[in-house]
Amino acid sequence: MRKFKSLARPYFVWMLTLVALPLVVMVVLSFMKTNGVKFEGAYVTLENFTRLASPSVLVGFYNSMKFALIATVLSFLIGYPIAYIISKSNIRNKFLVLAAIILPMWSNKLLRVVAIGYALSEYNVLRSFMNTIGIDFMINLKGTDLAIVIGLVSSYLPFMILPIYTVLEKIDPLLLEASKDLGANGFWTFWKVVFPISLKGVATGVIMVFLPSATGFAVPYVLGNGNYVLIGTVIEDSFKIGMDYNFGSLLSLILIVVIFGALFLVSKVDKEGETLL
Amino acid sequence: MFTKLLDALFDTPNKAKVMGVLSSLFKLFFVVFVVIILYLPIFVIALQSFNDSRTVFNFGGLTLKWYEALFFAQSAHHNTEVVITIQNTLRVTFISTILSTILGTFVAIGAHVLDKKRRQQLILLNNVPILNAEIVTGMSLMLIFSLMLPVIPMFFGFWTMLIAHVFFSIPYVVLSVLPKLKEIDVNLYDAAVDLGCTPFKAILKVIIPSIQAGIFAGMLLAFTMSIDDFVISYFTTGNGFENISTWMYGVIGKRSLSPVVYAYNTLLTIITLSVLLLINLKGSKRQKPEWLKSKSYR
Amino acid sequence: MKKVIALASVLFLAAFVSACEARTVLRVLNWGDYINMDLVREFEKEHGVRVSIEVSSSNEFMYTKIERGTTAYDIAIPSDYMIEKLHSEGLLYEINFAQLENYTPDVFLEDLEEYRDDYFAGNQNYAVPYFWGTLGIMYSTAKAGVEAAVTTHGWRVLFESILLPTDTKIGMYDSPRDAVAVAQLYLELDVNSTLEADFAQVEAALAQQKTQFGSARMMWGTDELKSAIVAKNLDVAVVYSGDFFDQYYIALEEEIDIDFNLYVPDYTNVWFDAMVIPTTSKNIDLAHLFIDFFLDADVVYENSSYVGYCPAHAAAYQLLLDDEEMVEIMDTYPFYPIKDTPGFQGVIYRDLGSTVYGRLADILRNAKV
Repeated sequence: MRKFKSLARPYFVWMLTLVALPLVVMVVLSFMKTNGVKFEGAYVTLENFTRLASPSVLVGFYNSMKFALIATVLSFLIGYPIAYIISKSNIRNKFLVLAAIILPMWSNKLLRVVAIGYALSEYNVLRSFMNTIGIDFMINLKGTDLAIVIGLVSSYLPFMILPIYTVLEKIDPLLLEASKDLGANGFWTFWKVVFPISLKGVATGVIMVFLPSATGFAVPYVLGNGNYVLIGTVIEDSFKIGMDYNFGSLLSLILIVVIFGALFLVSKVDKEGETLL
Repeated sequence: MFTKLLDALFDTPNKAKVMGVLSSLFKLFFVVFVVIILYLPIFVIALQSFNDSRTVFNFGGLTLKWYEALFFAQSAHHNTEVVITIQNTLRVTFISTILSTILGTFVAIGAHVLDKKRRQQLILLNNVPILNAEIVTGMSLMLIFSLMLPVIPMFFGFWTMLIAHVFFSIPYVVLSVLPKLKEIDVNLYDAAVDLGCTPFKAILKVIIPSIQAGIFAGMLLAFTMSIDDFVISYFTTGNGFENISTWMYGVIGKRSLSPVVYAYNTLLTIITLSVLLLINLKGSKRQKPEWLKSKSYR
Repeated sequence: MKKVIALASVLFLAAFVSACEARTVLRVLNWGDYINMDLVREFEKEHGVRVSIEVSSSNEFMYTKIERGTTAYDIAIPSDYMIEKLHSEGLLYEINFAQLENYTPDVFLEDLEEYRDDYFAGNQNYAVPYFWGTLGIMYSTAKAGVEAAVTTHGWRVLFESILLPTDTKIGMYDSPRDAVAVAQLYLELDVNSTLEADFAQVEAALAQQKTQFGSARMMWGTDELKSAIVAKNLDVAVVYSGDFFDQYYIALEEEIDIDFNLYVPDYTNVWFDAMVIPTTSKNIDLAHLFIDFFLDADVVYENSSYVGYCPAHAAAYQLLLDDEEMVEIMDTYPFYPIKDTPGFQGVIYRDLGSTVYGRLADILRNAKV
C-alpha cells in the first residue's frame, strides 16, 4: 500500500495554498495600508498596530472573552451531568438519545438564533400562541447579556455533550468494579477514576464551545440587539465598511496566535495528541 | 405528615429510597431543562412555519400555506428568492459533501502510509481549519480568492463557496477515516493484491469496506458542517449567490423574510429525524436475536 | 452498491450542471424591502432574463461592495452623498438618457428637480432618481406619554431619557452616517460638518445616550427597527419616512391595529436614492432597460404602493394623488413635506471624503462601547 503515498502529496499543496499563503498575505497586509487587495497607492505603516489600543478593540476582546467563558462554563456544568446521566443509564437505545442531541444541529444555526430572539422578546409568536391556549408567559431578555449567553449555550451545548459522552462510554466497567472493590464509594470512584479519564473529552468540549463563542458575531448581534462590540463584530466591520482589510488581517492574525498558542499549551499537557478524537 | 417525612428521611433503609427518588427527580428535571434549551428554537421555528400571520409577534392560526409555497410555484405566497436560496444551499452542501468525502478518504489513505514525520505534518495542517476561528478561515479564503479576481473576474459565488466548503469539510473526513485505517489489518491490502487484484481494485473492494464506518461518520460530519455554515460562506460568497444562512442574515426583521424558510427548516428536521429513526430501527432488528440469545443463557 | 454510486454520480452531475446559468443575469444592489418583486418578475418575463437582487443596509456597505469588485453589479441604488462619492472616484458609468424611452426632462417632481439641480449638479448624467424621503421618528401609540413626548421634543427624546415615560425602549439606526447625523440633528449642528469639535460633541451625546438608556432599553438596527415598533418590542425608533408606510401596508394586510405613527421633526435629513450603473456592469444595455422600466408611471405607482416611499416621478405622484385611498392616507400621515412647508428645514448629506467616513465608523463603534 506504500505506493499510495502520492495521494497525500496534493493535499500538502492544497493546504499550504489555502492555509499558509493567506497567513503570509495577512502579515503583509497588517503592515500596510492598502485599498483592499489592490496595491495602488499603498504604503507601509504601523498604524494598524496603534489602532489595537482603541477602546472598541479592547472592549471587544473583553466582551468576547467574557461571553465565551461564561458560555463554556455553563455548557460544562450542564453538559457533563447530562453526558454522565446518559452513559450511566440503562436506556437500551442510546443512539436515539444522541441523535436527539444532534438533531438541533441540523437546523440552520442562524434560524435557531433568530428563533431564540423571538422567544426572548416581549411580544413574540410563542407568547401569542400560548395566549390562544390561555397562558400568558414571557421572558423579556432580548438585548441583555443573559440573552447572548442563552443563545451561545443553546447553539453549542451539543458540542460539549458529545465528546464527554464518547469518552465516558469508553471507560472500562472493570475499572469501576475494581475501584468499588478497593473500598471507594460512588463519589470517590467518580472523582478519582471517572473524572480524570473524562478530562480529555472535557478538553475537546471546551475547545469546541469556547472558540466559536469567542469569535462569532451572529449570536451577539441578533440577541444583543446590536448593542455589543465583540472582536467578531470589529473584524466584520473592517470587512464591511471601508475595505479595511489591513486592520482586519491584523486582528485575525492575533486571533490565530492566541488560539494556536492556547492549543500548543494544551498539547503539552496531553502528549498523545488525541484531544480532538 | 411532615414529621413522618422527616422520620422517613432519617430512617436508614428508607433514606436510600428517598435519596433514590430525589436523584431520579433531579435527573428528570435536568434532562427536561436540557431538552428545553436545545429544542425551544426548533419549536419556535416549527410554530412560525404553521403561522398564518407573516408577522413574528402574532400567531394567526394554523396553516400549511408556507409548505405549499415551498414546493408549488403557483402558490400565492411563493417566494422565488427563498426557493433559489434553498436550492443553492442544498446544491453546495450535496456537492461539497460528496467531493470532500471522496477526496478526504483518499488523503487519509495516503496519509496512513506516509512516514511518521510527514504524517504528523499533514495532520497538523489538516487540523488548522477545524481549530481555527471561522471568521479567520473565512477572511483568509476571501483574501486568496480576491487575489485571483484579476484572472477570474466572476470567481465569487457558487465556485468560491464550494471551494470553501470542500476546504473545511475534508479535514473532518480525514479525522474520521484515519483512526479506522489504524484499526484494520495491515495485511489485507497485500493479501488482496496477492490474490490478483489491481491496486485500485484492492483499495475499492477491500480497504474501503473495512473503513466504511469511518467514511460514513466523516460524510455525516461534512454534511452537518456544510449545510449549516454561516461565517465562512458569508465571506466567500458573491455575485448574488446566497445560502440560507447568508440570506437569513440579510433579511432579519425585514418583510423579505419569507416564512417559507421556516417551513424548509422544519421539513429538514422532520426528514433527518425520520432517517435517523429508520437507521436505528434497521440496526436494532439485527441486534434483537443476539440479545435474546444472551438472555437464554441465564 | 453500484446502483447507489451510479445514482449519486447522476445527481452530482445534475447538481453541477444546474449551477450553470442559462439566462443573462442582471445584478442589482438595493436596500431591503425597497422594490416590488412582482414588478421585477414582470421585467424578467418581458426580457427573458433573471434579476438577482442583493441587499445592503447602509450606503457605506454599498460602496464597499461596489468598490471591492467581487460582484459585477449592473445597477445600484445608493443615496445622494454616496453617489457623489462613487462618481468622484470614477466608479459609475454615464447613463445614456437617449436610451431611456420613458425619460423626459420634466419627468421628476418639480421641487425635486430643484433639489436635483442644486445637489446633483455634475451628477445628473449618472443617476436616475428613484425614491426620496426624510429621516423621522417612528413611535408606538400604545404606550402612554410617548406620542406627546416625541411630537413635542423631536430628536431630544432619543438623548434625554427623562423626557420619555419610564422603561421606554429606543432604537437607533446602525449605520455610521445616520447614527452620527441623528446626534448632529439633536445638537443642531451641521450634518455635513467635518470639524473635530463637532465630532467630539457627537461622541459625548451618544455616550450620554448609552448611559441614560442602557443596552436593555436600546436597539441598534436597520430594517429591524420598524418591525420591532409594530411588534411593540420598541417604543421609539429612528426610521426613514417610507418605513412607516411599509409597516402600514403590512398591518392593513394582516389586519393588525395601527398603533404606531411617524413624526418628522422640522430639522431633519432629506435624502434621495437613485439608480446608478457601476463600472463593474457587464450588461449596460440591459441596465438601461431596467432603469427605463422603472421610469414608467404605472410601474412607479405600483412600486411606491408596495414599498411605501414617495416616488420622485411626477406622473406617478399624480397617480397617487388621484387614488382616493392614498390621498386619505397621505392627509392623515403628511410625511412628505415639500420645500415650501413652513418651518421645515430639510438638509441633504454631502460626500465628506474617505477619511471622515473612517472617523464616523469609529464614532459609531465607540458609541456601543
